[in-house]
Amino acid sequence: MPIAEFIQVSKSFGPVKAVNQVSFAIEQGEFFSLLGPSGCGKTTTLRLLAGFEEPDPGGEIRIGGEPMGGKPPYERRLGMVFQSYALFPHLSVERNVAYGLERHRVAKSAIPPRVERALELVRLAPAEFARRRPAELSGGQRQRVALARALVLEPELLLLDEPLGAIDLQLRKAMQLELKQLNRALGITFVYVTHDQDEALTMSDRIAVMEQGRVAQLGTPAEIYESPRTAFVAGFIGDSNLLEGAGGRRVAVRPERIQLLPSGAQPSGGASLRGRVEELSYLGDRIRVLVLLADGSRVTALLHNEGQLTRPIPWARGDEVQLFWRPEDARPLEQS
Amino acid sequence: MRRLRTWMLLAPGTLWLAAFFVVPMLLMLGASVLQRGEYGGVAPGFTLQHYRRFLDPLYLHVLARTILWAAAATVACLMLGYPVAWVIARSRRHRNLLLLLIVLPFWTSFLVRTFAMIFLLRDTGLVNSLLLSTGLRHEPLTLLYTPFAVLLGLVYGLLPFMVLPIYASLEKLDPSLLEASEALGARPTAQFFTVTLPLSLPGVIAGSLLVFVPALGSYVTSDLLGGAKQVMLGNLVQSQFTTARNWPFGSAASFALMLLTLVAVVLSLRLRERDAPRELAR
Amino acid sequence: MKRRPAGWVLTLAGLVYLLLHLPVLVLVVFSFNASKYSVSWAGFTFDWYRRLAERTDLLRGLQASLLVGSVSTLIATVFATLLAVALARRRFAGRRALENLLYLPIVTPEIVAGISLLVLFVLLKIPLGLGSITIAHIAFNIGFVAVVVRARLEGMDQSLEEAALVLGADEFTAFRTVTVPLLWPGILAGALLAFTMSFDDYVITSLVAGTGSSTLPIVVYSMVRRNVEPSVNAISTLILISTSLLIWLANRLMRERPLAAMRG
Repeated sequence: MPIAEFIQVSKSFGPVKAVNQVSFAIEQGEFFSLLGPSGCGKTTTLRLLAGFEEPDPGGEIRIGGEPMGGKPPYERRLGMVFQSYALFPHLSVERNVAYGLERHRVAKSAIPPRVERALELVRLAPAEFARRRPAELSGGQRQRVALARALVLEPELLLLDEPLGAIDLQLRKAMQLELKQLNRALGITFVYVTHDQDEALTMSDRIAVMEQGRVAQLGTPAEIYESPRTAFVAGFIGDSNLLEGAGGRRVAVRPERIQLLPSGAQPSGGASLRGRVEELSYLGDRIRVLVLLADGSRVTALLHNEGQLTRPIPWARGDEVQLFWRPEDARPLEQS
Repeated sequence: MRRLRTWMLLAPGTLWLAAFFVVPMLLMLGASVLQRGEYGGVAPGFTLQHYRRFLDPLYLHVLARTILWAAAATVACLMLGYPVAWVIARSRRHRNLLLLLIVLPFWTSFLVRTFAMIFLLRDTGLVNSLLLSTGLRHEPLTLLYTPFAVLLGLVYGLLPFMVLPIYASLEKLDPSLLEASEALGARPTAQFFTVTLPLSLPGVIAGSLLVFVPALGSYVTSDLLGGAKQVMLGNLVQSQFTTARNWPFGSAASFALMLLTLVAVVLSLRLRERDAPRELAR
Repeated sequence: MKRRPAGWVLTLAGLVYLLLHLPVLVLVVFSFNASKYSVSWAGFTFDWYRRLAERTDLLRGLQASLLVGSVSTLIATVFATLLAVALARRRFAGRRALENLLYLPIVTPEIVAGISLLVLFVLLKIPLGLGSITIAHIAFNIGFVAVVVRARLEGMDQSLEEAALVLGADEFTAFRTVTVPLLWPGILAGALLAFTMSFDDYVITSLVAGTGSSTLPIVVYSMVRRNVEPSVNAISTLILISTSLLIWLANRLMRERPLAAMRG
């Protein structure tokens, strides 16, 4: 049985439909991401799950099989990590973590050891941090306290609303790994909202890509990346070349799937187009080649950098080239 | 959501305001179109005569004086307040102290401050005794109970309301805009009129409203500093309810005052709205 | 901003500061002047303060003002805080209208508000006195306090309250353990504003006071109108000192960490 289900859920704010007829299920223990640009409805979806918003009539949200209609957040037994961390500034770290235990009437004597364990779980030494105020912590430490505060209640479902948005890149990479490990070690289901496609691809078991209040595609990272269903998904997750395929259907081809051949080559078993090299960009591990086609459109190809000083690619600006890709790398797109 | 329902939050305050603000206003509006009662109060019978009375030169004069003085006080506050706001915004080390000295009068009893003005301005007051003792004049200069005294009192009382909003908008002003205009060749005067002033306009509008509205409705200042001769609309309202015992006319005057106030508020909101997109455009 | 303002701007600003503060300073200094009629300095004295103690009307006025001030502040602050929370955190029909309603008493000339209340009280035969004064003060203070508290709420991260809800606090508990402690400086500032306005109000109070009861401003006003004695300087000085003390105290309270008491 899925741990959480959305059945035909919509949410309107006045005339705006923030979430529009969304249905999906989140499985026990998985790392599930809601991915999309800002305003796509991902945060509203999460807030619906948390109980801050009620779905429009007709839709239903279930947690653990139980309909949540009318159930307030404090009866849903969820954990949540907020984008701003939302640590109570007037309480110390330990009192922040203890807050939920107090609300759930955990025996007074049982609270300190559980707080301590939660802090250790997120690798904050209790002796050093327990008595500090949130204002006395770094961004990464606040992040950990917020996590401990949510995990101490041992929820089955942990909601995370862009929790890594406010910390710097290097720390973010480390935290991504740590979150993934926590997800696996604790067996807690993570529902993770992000607008960062790399983050979603790295961490998730499954991703729901959202666009304008709808789920545009739901699948594993590989499915989403390698087989995007719509032009929106193809464009939002990584780069894609949108081309006219056989029979006039639109197809998406990833730049790294495109090979460049000398003009006039006759490759077999694939599609090809002619064009002229317009721009070359050196990216370090890759070389990006922008090719101008006869009809005025442009195609990007990513070539492996084998070493520009020792084995440079044989193309220069203005060269006539032949673009080639295998038929299975051209993914037909649905009209979105 | 549960327990703390929205109506529980709203009910006490809203009901209180409805009962002791909205209803009284409506009653007053009603009283202004009824007949005058014999011993104060009102008598039944619809009439607009109390509003017509404003066409009487005597009351027209009060109306005009009220608007004029409020406008004059606003302009004076702007002239005096803008430089002060400018100095505060440009100071670095003393900014908090300078701000505190502007805010301080807010917390000082209005009555006490008005009395302080009387103490300075009356015939035996400090200003006159200085004038007499230095031999600049041989008899006291009449300062109190003049339009000048009322205007001075209004400016003295309301100046902080002008300074703070202008300061707030000047403080927000991005210094790189000034540098950009300098780099483009604007001299200080041109810079002020083409960059600083337009960008601080929201503050000027807000400040003007905050001065103009209380000045319109001022009662204490004109009563204590203007005496019986310099009557403003507020004093007219009061006298109709106390000495003249003409409630309907007092209500009409009161309503006129309220109307003037609302016109000023709406006008300034309009001006600000027109200005807002410029502020928002990044 | 880098360059210093021009000389004439600085001079003008200096004069404005002088205008703002000199009158009150002069007033205070001359409350210690021995001469009764002249403004020339005739020696230092505490006489005018001693004479204040003999005036029972001032003392009664002070008592009335303190009573009205504290009761009306308490009620107005509670009502206004609830309103501010609803306005900042809840969606409901008529929100815009309510916001405008809150601003209305703020812009309404005091004389208008006072007169209209007088009309109501007389029509409903509500006896005029400390009770009617308190009712009036609550009515015109709610808007001010609500605006102050709301400003503070706007600056407060809404997810703090949501975090409390997710952690198992019902709405009342979240309000008590998170919203109120964090909002405390704003509430205190609003209450302080309400108290000073109530304590200082003359116009509305004089209209709805009736004949029997006088607050301090009413007594002082009649002294100012009848005039002259330096004891007015003395009472003014005392009012100044007490309000300054109050402000200083409130400032101290507000600067402290939000409510150590709430931790226990």
